[in-house]
Amino acid sequence: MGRCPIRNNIRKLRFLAGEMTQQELADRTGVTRQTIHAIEAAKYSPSLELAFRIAAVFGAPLEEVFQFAPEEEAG
Amino acid sequence: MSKQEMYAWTSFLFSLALLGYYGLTALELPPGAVGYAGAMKGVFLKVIGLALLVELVLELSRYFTTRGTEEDERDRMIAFRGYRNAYFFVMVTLISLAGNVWLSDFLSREAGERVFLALPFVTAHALVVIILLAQIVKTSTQLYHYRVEG
Repeated sequence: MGRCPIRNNIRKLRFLAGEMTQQELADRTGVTRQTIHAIEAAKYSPSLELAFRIAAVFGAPLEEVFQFAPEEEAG
Repeated sequence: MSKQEMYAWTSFLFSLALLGYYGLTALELPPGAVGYAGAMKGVFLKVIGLALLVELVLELSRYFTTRGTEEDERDRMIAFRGYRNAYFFVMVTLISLAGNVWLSDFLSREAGERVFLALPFVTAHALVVIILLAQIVKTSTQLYHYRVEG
């Protein structure tokens, strides 16, 4: 299992949200900190529901948080 | 390390130690290996005890810790992969075992030969080993995905 084709800006959005910690984001989205870490590192693709939950925490549209990049996966 | 990964580790070590202990107990060892087997049994029992203790602590911590989620969609997905691999393992080994029983029956009728697993108690041992190995396959798959996915 390699990197997934979904890129994200969670690290940047956490920084812009006052250096929100992974644990805080995890608590607000109902997952573990390890899952947030795996998503941030593009090692795990979240479910659609979780993706929307994360976007809602930042008050951003889904496409601002996640981007589909299949060519990076192939390369 | 998440709690689910800790559970996977304790379950993996518990099954591995139980398999080792069972193997040393069930197998007829040569006289020279009895002392060595006794020492190994002690090690396996300690691992089993330690794994149970860690699981107990993890269970107790559930009642005293309220922070955060303990299991989420990623944990469930990793568990599904573990169950899938364990299922394939169980199916392959059970089909092999059934084939062996059938072959043994056939050979004993046709040529008076008996193959190793034809003996009922050996088949029973094989089933116990299959159960423990299936658990090891499941937990090692989980641990692989936890480690690879960070």
